[in-house]
Amino acid sequence: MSIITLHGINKIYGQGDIAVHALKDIDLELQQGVFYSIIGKSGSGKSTLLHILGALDQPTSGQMILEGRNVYEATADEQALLRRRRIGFVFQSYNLLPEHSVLENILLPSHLDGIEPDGSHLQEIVEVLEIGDKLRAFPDELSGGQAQRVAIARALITKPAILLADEPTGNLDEVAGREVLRLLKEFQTRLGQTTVLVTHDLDIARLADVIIEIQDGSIKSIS
Amino acid sequence: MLRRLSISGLKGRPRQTMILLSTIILSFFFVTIAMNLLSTSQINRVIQRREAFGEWSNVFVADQPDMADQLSQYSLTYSQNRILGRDSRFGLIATADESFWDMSNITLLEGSLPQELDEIVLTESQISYFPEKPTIGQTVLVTFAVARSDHEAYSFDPETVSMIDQDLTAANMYIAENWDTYRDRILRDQAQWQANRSEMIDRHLQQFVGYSSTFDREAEIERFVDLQNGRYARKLALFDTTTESLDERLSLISRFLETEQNYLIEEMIRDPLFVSRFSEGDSEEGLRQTAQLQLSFDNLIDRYLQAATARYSSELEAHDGTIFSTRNSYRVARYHQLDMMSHLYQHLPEEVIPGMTLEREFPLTSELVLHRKMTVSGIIDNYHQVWDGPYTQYATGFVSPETGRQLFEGGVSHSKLEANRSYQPPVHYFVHGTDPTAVERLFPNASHLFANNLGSGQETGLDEDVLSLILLAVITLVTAFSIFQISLIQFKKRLRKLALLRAVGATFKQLRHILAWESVYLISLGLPIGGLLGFVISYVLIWLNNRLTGDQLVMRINPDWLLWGYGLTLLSILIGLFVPMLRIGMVPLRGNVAVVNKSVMKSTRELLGDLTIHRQSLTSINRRHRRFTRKQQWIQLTLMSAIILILIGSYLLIYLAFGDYREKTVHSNMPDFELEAPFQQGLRVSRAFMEELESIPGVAGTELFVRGLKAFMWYDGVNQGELDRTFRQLIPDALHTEHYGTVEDFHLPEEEEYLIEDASVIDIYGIVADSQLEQAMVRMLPADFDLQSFRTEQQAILLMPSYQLDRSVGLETIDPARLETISREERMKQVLELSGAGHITYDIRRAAVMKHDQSTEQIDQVDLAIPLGATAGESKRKLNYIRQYRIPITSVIYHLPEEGFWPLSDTVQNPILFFSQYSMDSLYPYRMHSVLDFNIIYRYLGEEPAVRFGSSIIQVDQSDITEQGVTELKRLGFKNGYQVNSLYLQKQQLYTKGVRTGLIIGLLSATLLLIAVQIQTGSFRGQLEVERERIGILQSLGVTEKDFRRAYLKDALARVIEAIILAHAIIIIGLIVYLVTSGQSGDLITELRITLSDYKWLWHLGLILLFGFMGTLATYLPIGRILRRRPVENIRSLQ
Repeated sequence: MSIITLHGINKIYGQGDIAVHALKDIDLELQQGVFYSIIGKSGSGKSTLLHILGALDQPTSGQMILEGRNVYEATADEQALLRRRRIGFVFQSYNLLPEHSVLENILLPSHLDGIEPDGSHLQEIVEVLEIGDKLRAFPDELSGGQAQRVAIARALITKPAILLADEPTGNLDEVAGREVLRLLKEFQTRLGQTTVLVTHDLDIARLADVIIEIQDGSIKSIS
Repeated sequence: MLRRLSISGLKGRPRQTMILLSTIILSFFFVTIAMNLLSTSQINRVIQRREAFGEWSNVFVADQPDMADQLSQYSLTYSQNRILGRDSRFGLIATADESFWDMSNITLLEGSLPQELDEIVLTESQISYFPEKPTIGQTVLVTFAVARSDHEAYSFDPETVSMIDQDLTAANMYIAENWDTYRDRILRDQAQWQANRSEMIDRHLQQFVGYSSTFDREAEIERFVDLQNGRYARKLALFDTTTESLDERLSLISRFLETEQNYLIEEMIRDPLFVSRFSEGDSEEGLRQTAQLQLSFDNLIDRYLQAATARYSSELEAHDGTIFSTRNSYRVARYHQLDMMSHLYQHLPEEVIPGMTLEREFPLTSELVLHRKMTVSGIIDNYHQVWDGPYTQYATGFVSPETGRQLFEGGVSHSKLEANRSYQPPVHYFVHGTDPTAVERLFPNASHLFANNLGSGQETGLDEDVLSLILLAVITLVTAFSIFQISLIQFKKRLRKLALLRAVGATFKQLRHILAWESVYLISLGLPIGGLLGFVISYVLIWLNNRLTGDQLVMRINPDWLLWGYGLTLLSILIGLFVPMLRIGMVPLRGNVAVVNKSVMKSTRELLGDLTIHRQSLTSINRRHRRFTRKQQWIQLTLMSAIILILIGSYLLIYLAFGDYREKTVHSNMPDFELEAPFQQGLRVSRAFMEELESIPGVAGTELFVRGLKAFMWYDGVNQGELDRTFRQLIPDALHTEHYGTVEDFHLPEEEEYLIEDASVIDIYGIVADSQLEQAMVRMLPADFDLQSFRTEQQAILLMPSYQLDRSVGLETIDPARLETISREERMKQVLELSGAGHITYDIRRAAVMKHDQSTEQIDQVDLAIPLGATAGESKRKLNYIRQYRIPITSVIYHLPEEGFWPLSDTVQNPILFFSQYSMDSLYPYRMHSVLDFNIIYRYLGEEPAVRFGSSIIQVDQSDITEQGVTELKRLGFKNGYQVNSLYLQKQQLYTKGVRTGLIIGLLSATLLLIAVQIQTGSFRGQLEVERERIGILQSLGVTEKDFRRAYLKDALARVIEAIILAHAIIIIGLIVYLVTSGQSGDLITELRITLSDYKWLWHLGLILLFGFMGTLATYLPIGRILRRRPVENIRSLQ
């Protein structure tokens, strides 16, 4: 079942001679519960595509249908609610709030939505991610791998329909990177959410069910 | 290469470069303004001072003939002004040469300076001494007296006094031995004198009041001789002719004189000539009182002294157009100095009496009186008003040196009298030289050496100067701080780029060079732009000042001051730019990593406790963020508080800068002119005069106050009050007599001496019916106050001063030297304040904080003793009469009913008794002006009104009165016997001072405000960068824009409110400190109420609202811009 459909998505930065066409007429359909990886060279537009999928950026033209709703026709606040409830995002640089403890960071999306998280779900996430002993720690006290696990936990706490990860291993060493990927895969299996992983590493991409290759802003292949 | 890097670095971050550049521009801008205003203020003042006070550095009186040679040897420019004498209209007249005109910078208002023989100029102030304003070219007879010696110098010399005593004895012996012939001479002379006097009175009365003359000189002499013979017969009857003792005989004579008064009084009140001088009908008792006064002991003496003076003038001499005579010898002085009351000594022979020790020509009050026709050639500015030396020394009329020579070398030097021939007028040497100490070194012992302190500008403590220097200090400090802050923020922002440069091999030294070049470029741009703008705005500000205050300031530039200002600013800029550079060693190879505040983190963790946490909201998230970044938050709050503090503080300071103006003019209702006559004029005459004044174009209104003579009030327990007791303990013994008076001054029976000795010195005021003062009194007093009785019966309202005494201060007598500069009116107030023992006031606004003497609450009546003449201390003359009254007190009050009664606003010393106009008339008898002074009769043009002892005060307010109007007002005032005080100049000066100080405070505040806003904006932008990242993350987590806006609006409002509270807290502390150090009591609330009584709270509120609105917008709007961005645009790592 399709969860996200992109129609004719274009993203152009700048104007006139210096305009950069980052995404060109992207048509894409993402199925529910599938692990996708987007690969491509640096500057190919893969991160831009991910940002548009996560409603973090506005396409220059085109439509994105998320669970039957045209995201970019919605208001900014409606988009924000979608991000809060249906989309989880894992950033390369974690983007944890430094003055909040690990637990507070994890619970943030739920709390912002005015709900208490599902305790068993939280317990499961914490156990799987093995961050139970770090819940009172602050992001500054975590290693890169630990921080990224917290970021994953935060992204998953609201049980989003889609989890987007932008090079989540980019700042991690190989061991930590592999561990993060393993966890993403595990959660995708456990929770069944659609996961989109952006990477430039083919080995990592191969962990996905579907690999989407981007080249010069266009989808080169989907395999 | 490094230079190119620095230029591209500056161009590469245009916004930061502009912030830094604009701060530097502002610094030079404001320092230029500050220095220009300072130098303009100073140089203009020097110029104005020199224009007003002259360029000379010293003046001294000298008569050494070689003085000019000595001055020339020292290369000093000088002028010689011969002091010729004093004329009743022109004042002190002196010669003036070209050098004097050059050095003194006197402004010629009309006509020309005296160049030709017999030309004279007068200062504007002297115009009022003429019945009509003298016209240019008018010929006037100038009669001026030259005091050839100062008898005061001898009066306290014991040796001289003993010599005079000896002379007196010799004179007495002479009189006794030659009594018969002596008596004939007295009678003959007195008859002549009486006839002269009567003839003159008759002539004036004919001229001015149309009195029908029946005067016959011979008959008058005959009548007088008969009268005197009759009186002598009666006198002889009183004498024990067998008494051989001269002292006893003289004693009998003096007693006779006193008893004779009764006879004369009776004769006088039957004299139609005497009665005709009253313009209002009066009772026989009133005439009797006046006659009694006129024939009082003092007046008799005065009359005889005058006669003696005239008699002993030398014969007139005339040489080459100069007519002169010599007035009198030592004898009059002897009578006067030794208080001898007898007129007997007027008739001593010309030749020296055997036994006298003094030479005949011994000069005591010798005056040379010169008469010469002169032509008024011009009118000059009021030179003497701006003089800071002894006022008696400086001329108000000037003639050419040639006229001076004609008067003395051509005239007096040909006198028959040796004393005149040898007389040399004193010379004022006005000296100008580059070395101001040259004169002092040249004449170390010059006793009459005065430095031109006003002209050379040695005065200190002027507000504008101090404020300008504060401005410079603040600008340099704030510049250093703000540039340091801005460059530090920018430095932190640039860490990544600097790290990159390091990564590609740049050394720390090279990084420093790049930053140094940047500084050079910024300063090279900032200095000329800021300087140029500063000059333009300086011109505008000075123009504005001139527009607002009527000043004539011309912009002056002092290069030294400017260089100092720029030097200090440059230094502060360099410090601000280079101190962050010291951190260059901290530049890492990668960008700096923000570290969460460890201590806050620890406390937060402790707060978190177990894993159960409270639900988070955007508000709690923001609160946590503020807690972790509280240093930055404090900086923001401090800056915001500084901005509102500057806004409100400067408004408050400007308000306080006008404090003097408000206190001295607004609250006291200072009139533009105050006309005061040394007598109480009848109400009808006063009103007619006021109408005449009101008819002058530009006169807006007049108000009348009447004041009695200083008097003595006694009641049972008068000295029980702690205020009076305290004051008596504080003043030196020598002042007791002067302040309280002594019984020796009055003719009082011994049993009544307590009425003076134990009494309080009081002032007496009359309340004119239906006046504002009467209405205010009625409003203040209880409803049972019977106005009708007060108006028609002899009763009074007693105003006792309120006071605040500090009992912890020991009451030690004040050093008399400290009291020398305190006026008599201010004495009690000043003495209390000087000693620290307390304060005294009649200020209605201070009534709440002051105590009053409880013992006075039940005073029903007081015994009032009114001396009919000057009080002791104000005159050395004895006082003859005391009028005694028992006055019912209708009310005792402790503060004035309302503010704004100007003549009372300065009354800070004595209790006041308020009477109705009717009661005032009954308290004081009519008086004649002196002893039928012909000048006064002339002045009144035959309408000499009957006046009473005391004074009439007429306030005049003007609106756009012309110069001619002022002259007319002065002329009318003078004509009616009033002294005219021009208070509008004083008001204008106070207002100008407020405007100037306000402008400087405004400028200082604008400087601080701009810089504070600059820093606030800079540091807020720095914080926004951090905030932007956080917002981006929260946006990615699904926080809506609406939630963000609500939270940040609350934040902005909270910050603004916190800033307002903090600023007010600081202001209140500042005010408390100010009031504690300068206030008059410990009651801060009332002091605050008084200090801020005129404060415009609506403006204050307006400023707060303005700040609240602008501050909220300034905080909120940038956030709004961030919120409108997509999350990806806000999270830096995603860009």
